[in-house]
Amino acid sequence: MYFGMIKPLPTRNLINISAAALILLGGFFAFPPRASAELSFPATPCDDEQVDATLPIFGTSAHLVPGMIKEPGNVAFQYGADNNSFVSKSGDVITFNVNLLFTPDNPLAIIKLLAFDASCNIVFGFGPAFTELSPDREKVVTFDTATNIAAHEGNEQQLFPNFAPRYVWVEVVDQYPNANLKTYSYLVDILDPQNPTGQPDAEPPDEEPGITAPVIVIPGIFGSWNVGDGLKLDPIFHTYDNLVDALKLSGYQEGETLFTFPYQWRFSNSFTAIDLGLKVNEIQEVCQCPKVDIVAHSMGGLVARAYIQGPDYGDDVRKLIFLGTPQRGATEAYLGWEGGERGVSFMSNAFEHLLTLEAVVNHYPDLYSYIRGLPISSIRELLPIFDYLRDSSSQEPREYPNQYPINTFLEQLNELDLLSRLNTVDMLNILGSTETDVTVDVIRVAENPFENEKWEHGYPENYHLPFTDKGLERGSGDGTVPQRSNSNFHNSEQVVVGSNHVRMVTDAQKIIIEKLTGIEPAEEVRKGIFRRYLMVRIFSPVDFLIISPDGKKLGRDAGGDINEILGGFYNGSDSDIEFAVIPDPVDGEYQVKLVGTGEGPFTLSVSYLDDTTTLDKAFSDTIQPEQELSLEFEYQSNNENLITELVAQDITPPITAAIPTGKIGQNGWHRSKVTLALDATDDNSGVLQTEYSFDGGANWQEYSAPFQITTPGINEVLFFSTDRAGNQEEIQSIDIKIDKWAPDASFMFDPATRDVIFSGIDDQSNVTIQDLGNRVILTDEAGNTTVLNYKEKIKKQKSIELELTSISYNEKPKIKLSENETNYSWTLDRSGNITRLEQELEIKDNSISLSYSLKHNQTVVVEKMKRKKEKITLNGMIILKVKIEKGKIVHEY
Amino acid sequence: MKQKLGVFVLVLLASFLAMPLVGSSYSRYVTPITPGFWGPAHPEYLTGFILSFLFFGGLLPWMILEDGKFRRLVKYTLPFLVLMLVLQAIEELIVGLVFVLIGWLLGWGILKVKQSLQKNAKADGS
Repeated sequence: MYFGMIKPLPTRNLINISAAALILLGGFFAFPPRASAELSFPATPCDDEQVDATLPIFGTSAHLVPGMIKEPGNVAFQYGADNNSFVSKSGDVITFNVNLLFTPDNPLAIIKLLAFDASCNIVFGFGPAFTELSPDREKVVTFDTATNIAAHEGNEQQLFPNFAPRYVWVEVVDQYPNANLKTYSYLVDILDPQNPTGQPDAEPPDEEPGITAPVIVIPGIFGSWNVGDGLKLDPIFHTYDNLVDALKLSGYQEGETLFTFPYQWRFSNSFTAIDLGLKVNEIQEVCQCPKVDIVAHSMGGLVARAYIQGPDYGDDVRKLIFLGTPQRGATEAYLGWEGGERGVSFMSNAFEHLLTLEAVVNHYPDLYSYIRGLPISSIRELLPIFDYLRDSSSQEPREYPNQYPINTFLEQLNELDLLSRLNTVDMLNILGSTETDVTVDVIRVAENPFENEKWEHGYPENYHLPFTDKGLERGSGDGTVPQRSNSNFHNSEQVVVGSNHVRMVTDAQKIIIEKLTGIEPAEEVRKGIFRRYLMVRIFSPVDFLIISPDGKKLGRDAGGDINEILGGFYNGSDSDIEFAVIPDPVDGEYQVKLVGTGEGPFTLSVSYLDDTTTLDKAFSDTIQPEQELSLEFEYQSNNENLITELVAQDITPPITAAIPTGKIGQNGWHRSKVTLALDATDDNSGVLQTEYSFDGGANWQEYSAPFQITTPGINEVLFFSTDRAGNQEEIQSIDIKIDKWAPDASFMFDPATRDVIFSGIDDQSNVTIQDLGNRVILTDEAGNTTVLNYKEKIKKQKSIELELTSISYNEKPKIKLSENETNYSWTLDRSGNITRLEQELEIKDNSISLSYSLKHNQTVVVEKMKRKKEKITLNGMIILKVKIEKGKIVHEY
Repeated sequence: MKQKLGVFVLVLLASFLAMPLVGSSYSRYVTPITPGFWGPAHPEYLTGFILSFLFFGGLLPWMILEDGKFRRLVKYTLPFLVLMLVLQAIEELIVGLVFVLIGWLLGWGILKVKQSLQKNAKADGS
């Protein structure tokens, strides 16, 4: 019985990276096998044959795709929880339970079964079409040794007809058909299939989140400049500032756990890689740690790769994060290498002139000569190693490397054997992607029309003609590196961010920090090259004053122009065009106070500006001269919306007017029921509600429509309104005085004056009386009037006779009174005191008489009503009072 | 003097405001502008700013200033045009000249309309 496992790969030969690097690179070491230290795998006699097995039919590797990397199975699948359930045999059927450790979806994974006979001659097995793996990870492959039928996921196929297999192996191929696909195998003897012995690999312990290794930030080409005191990371465009600051914000400390690696980008990356190795050693001495992390932008990623894939690598890089690294080159580099050109825009031309200046200072006639003559090897090392030139005459693409400038550096760096050196590093490949396809992907080349040494491999068609595509065919990518150069890079995790080649350094900061520390930062650092600005402007006859959240003022105050904000600008209030600019505004609520200098509509605009965003908010209204308005908006730098809408600030409560309607009398009285309307107005936010109360505020009712008050007398109504901003009006009150009725009239004898006195009776207010001799006019406070007409028949010295004729209320038609007569007669003693008083009222057949005698000091009352007569005697002088109630004469005493 | 300074700041601010739109439009419709291996995060903004400045430099002085309109227009636009010529940014130079022309024509037109309205208002008043 023999059981086999693929052997470790043999040591590779030395591979050159570049002419310069050839001398420096001593050799490459074999990638150490990843076989488990705990597991041991039974050997079979065919182990050696399996490693380099060749199918006799195709003359190729038994793995069907030449050049694959063979790795032991335990990298790709588990051998069962206890190592006893991976392979089993029941009768003639052998079962493989393949529990994959990866998700088989990118682009494809396939599973195969192959076999040797007893002499280790190979036979055919499952083909890829038959055994593409679905994304689930648990696979079962069976093989019936009696019928040679293999089965997987319901598919059956008879293998090896007319052949008696002795050893079979199950093989998983990942990332088929990529050039760097990987295969994993397990070989068993069909007579006695055995599981491996020992314990399966323990899962590597989860790393504690946080900073566990120092990080080195490596810039791309042109990303390091000498500013007097040595090389610095992009001091011009500050490409890496946000990332470095974000790392610091996450806890990295410069010189302890955070390092930058500016380098002389004019040299070959192979030289720079040696410097990087020294830098890593230097950092290891500082941190006393086994490994470092690297974040490498653009060509910096190639520097890192040259170090890790090079001979001096000491297995001291834990994580490697690529940011837009041109793993297989960038087409744009052709322009620089072949023609000393950098691009076609104003910016490119400006930069090209700067480099040309550097070339001239260094005694080179032009940039091309400088790049070639110095040489700036890094530009050559960015040349693509894929097909990117197309002949303009035939429109046919050229096949690399025929008639292409050769990039030996990238060719060798991307050789499969060298790529495998990256397997020990946890790699994250971050790609940028622009909204539209603007990345130079293919260059259409023609013969060089100029008589110079440039454009050896072809001149981009119409390159110097404006308004043409300049021979540059655009494709997907980050604007600089085509996606086909750096996507699906060897064994790396891949993330795409919607950003260009430069901006991605800032945009990917959260992804980078999460990869390094396992913690996603809550905040981003985005200090643009341009600052952040708030701009307030108005094109109307309005002056404005801005009050920032910290109380500082900018604009026009009562005392004139004012500017308390550092760096703020206000153009003055001399014209109708007024604007103010606040750089780096503080977060919070801003108030804009407006004062009308004329009448008419106005629009106030507030804009936020930075290097990526322009936001506008506007507020329109009309204004009167001297009218004051107050607007407010909020600015929050960490909020997605940045500035809120402008809203009129409402600090004043609403005003409610109580409007009573009814028949208006005198002195604030109404002579009818009253309808009360409560009309509330608000200057800004509007009235939310109005409430009123009839009981002194004990109970409040919400006002919805005018209501009626009918109760006579003085009705106190309390009311107030609230606006939508929550401002509440002071409680107001109104007295609604209602007196609907005219007073009733009465008269009686006055013993003191010995005359008849008229009086009015009103239940709501006082009554004034005007006696005109034969008419008495009674008026209450509300203005209701009663006119009583009478005849004073006889008014003698000791008697009065009186007859009432009619009465009229509130100028309505007269009411004729019943036939009546009232008589008063009296006698006096010498002192003038009344000794006798006779009072008599006759109304038709009824009468009442009151006789008073001083002697007895009694009054005898005799009341005759039809045939009834009643007599009573009362003490004292009793006075008869005659009243007219609603046109009817009544009496009381 | 204060008015001239105000106009200059206004031209600057207007260019700053219009820069992203003009830059991205130029990059989309004329020639893609990318940062290359190294450059500003938004390289198209530079072109956008210059073209906007040329436009507003043609428009606003002519529209607002009362004296020295032409001198101010030339002062604002000529340096950028010369710079583009020197750097052989021919496409941007051509588009820039068109922007100056459009700005100036627009300013001239607005001024004419304004003057005509004022004239009518005076005539109505008398």
